[in-house]
Amino acid sequence: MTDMTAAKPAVRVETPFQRFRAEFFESRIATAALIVFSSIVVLALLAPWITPQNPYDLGQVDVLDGRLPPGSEAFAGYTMWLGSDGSGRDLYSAILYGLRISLSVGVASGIIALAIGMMIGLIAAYMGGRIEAVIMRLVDLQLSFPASLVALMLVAILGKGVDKIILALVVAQWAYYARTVRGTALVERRKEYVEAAQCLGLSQTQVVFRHILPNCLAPLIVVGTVQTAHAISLEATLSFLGVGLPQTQPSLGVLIANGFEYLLSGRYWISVFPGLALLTTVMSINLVGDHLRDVLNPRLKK
Amino acid sequence: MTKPILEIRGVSKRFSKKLDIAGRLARRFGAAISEETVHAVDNVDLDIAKGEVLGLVGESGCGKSTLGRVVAGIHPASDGALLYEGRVITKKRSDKAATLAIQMIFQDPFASLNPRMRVEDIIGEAPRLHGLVAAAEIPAYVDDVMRKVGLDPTLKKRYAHQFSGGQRQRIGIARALAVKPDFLVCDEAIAALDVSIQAQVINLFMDLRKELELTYLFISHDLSVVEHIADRVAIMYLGRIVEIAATEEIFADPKHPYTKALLAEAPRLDQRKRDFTPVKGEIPSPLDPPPGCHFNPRCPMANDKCRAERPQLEEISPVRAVSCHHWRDA
Repeated sequence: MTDMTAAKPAVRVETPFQRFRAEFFESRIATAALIVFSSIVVLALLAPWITPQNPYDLGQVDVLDGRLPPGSEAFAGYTMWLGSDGSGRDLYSAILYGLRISLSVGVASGIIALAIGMMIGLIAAYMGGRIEAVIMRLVDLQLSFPASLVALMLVAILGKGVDKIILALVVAQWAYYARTVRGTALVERRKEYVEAAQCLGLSQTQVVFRHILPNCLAPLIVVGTVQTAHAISLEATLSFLGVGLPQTQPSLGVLIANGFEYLLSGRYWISVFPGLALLTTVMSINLVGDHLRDVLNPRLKK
Repeated sequence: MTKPILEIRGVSKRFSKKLDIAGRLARRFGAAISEETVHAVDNVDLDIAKGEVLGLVGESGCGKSTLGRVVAGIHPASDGALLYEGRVITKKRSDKAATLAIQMIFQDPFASLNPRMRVEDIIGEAPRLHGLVAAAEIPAYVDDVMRKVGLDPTLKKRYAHQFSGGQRQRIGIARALAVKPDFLVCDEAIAALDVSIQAQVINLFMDLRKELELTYLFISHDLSVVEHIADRVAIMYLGRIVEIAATEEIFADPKHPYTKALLAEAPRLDQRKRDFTPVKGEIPSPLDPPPGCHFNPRCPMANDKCRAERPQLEEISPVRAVSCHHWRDA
């Protein structure tokens, strides 16, 4: 069916993007995941206006509100629908603020790692020879360590803080992007349209950036989505272990860690609600990423 | 013959596969591994006159495409020199005029167009980046080039995948013409097309030749096509030119045993042949070509001299050359 529509371009000019969009929304699960993820992003962005409490403002946090079960009324008068944690933070507010941190750390590290990995991968593919060998062995070395171990070591050296954890995540993840780009670029640069561009007297930079790179983007987008989800859970892992973000800037991982000590005493909500938020976020990104891979991979096309 | 526009002087192209660490180690311990070198093009001399169509014919793997790519500047030559209008252009092609003057038409109309670009960008990119046409005049220029190759300019916002094979090949031709070349290397440019479309594209080539005074190096394995459009034909075998002559002469009176074998096997309407006796044996591996004349293992006339001594391309008339020890006996 898709072939039939592609065969009649006379009716309507279909850009690759329009076709991609139509194919993406064919899957209900991926559409639902995209909607869930977009609502999470919107909620996180709107957090200061839709939450009753700013969990970073110590003046608004009251220790007397600590460990209240879901639905209790806070000292300040509002209802804590998801309960509160040990230091009296309203969990609903804390989760939305935590999402802001988790998402921005994940996305920032994802974009920086993508940019760095892409450049390194392109250099490896285009230069070849010894440069490629050195870069790719470095990538192999990096990928032979678990990403969480690399990030853990780096954070232990660098210390706490949002900027440091982003740096650690970039170092832990650039290699995935580099490997992906190099693989695709090697395939693309052998194609005749690249030879045609050389023949037309385009410079090496023009060939790489105008012809090879745009054709490497599809797999990069897929890897980027999945790796961003990975970065978010990695950050939560580090924060849970106590080496990630400080208590004053609670990300989802810090919130889960805070509730962990109360779990056996029956105060499940302190860990479980941030955990559910993390799960929903990571899963929705992964579902979107998986379906992107199906749509963008020509070999899986019907 | 008029002054040649392109002279190929002793051009060779070798591809070698360097040994990796494991291979070098194995060799140190006595394994019989050596670097593999393919002589894809082996000391080829050719002159192409302005306005002529030179057909380059040979079996798969004989190096004709590689020679075309060397001429088009995609591969640097390992040895020898290319002279364009008398100027040497072998080294890194800093000579932009010569680079743009020689353009290539590719075999695969699907792989040779960037799938992420619109037709107007595919055609207009090079003239814009090289400043051949003022930016404001690019749209009109692209329309003009598209009309020249028989494409409807209203389709220029489309992507390559929305066109048929013949139309894509026209886009490829338009892309080459957009930089105002004098010389086109057509590498099996019609082999991937349907026969009816082939005829259209050949006619397009011939019309453009008249209109723009183009010179062609027309690489093909299809003798009937070459006979139709070429002024002269060069036959290539395993990296070497074995015979070169005017088209009528080579088809009427081939001198080299390989040319004879090729022509004898081409299906022709006027002969109504039923039996075909293919050239015996396979084309030898270019990794390990036979010594002497490359054709000797398959040649009915081969003797000890053929196995030992490489025949030179010998001029047997002012416009005809053959590389065989026995051409007089033939």
